[in-house]
Amino acid sequence: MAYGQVLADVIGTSVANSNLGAGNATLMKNRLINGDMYIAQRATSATITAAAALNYATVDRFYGYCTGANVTMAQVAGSGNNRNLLQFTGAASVTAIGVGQRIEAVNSYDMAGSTATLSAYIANSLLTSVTWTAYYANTTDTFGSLASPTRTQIATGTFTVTSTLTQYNAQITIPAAATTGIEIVFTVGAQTSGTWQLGLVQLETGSFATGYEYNNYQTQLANCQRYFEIFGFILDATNLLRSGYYKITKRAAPTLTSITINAGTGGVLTNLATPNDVCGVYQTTVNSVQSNSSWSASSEL
Amino acid sequence: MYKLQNLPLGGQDVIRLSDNASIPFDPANTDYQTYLEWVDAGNQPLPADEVTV
Repeated sequence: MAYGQVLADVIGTSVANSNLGAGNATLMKNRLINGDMYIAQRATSATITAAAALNYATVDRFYGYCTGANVTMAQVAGSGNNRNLLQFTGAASVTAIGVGQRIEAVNSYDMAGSTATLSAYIANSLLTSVTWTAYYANTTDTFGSLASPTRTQIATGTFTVTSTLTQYNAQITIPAAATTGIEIVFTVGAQTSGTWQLGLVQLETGSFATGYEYNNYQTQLANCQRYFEIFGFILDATNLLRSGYYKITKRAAPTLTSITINAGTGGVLTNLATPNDVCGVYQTTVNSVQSNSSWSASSEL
Repeated sequence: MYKLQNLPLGGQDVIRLSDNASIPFDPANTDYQTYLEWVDAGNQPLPADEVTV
């Protein structure tokens, strides 16, 4: 007996939120990392300073920014399928808040020239309009800064939202030129009070919003650690050139920042020189005493 | 504000003095891109100290 062929954009199942996706990416379909806001290596809550810069402060891979006044950006508990949400708490004089994620070209190249669907669960206790915008980088993986972006807008639209967490979706025609990385941004206006929440954010190939793609925790953590990780290092008081390696190879040579030096001061780590520039670190300045220490390595887009 | 750093294995990187972050001279690093914008705005980093290994 010959088997037939089924052509479908979406295949439903009897389990809620478990539809199979469309296109070539029915598995690993979500191009956004940590869309369920599970991973928060830096902190679970932080103050975002108004009009400063893109701020990677709480949940991994998502930056936040604001204008007018500072806001709080936090990972909070959700409900139902939304175990965690990303929440902004408004304040007097706030004029705008933005949150977004930049997707590497290697993880979005194949979407160029296709239709994609953006979906997210959103609630806002004050405002009723959330704007989404998609961009592609003008050159590969280079989107520019908040003040001087180097990106081209693909499409934009508005979700009319309520205080009840609800899933919204939009279809995006990705141009053929968008082989250089894609950025998704959500913005609101004057969030002068109340909260704005997002969860289960997904960008996938195809014309339909399918069920959110959940990853196991360790896989999702490793995906995040390509862009940011915290690692330990024993600083030495006499010898330079002690080396260590990252848990996950970084996207680019990362910026290294000291989090804690348990005893003494002065120890400095630097990224290993090429050709191993994405693999590890070495000590370039001795510490006053031998000490444990912890460091962050960031290669966010 | 930034300060150049000579590396024991050769070459340089730059230290961001606000948090002593070590920023590699990698064009793909966004902190390095921000440093270049700062230099393009007419600023200059502090010179590097000598390194002895």
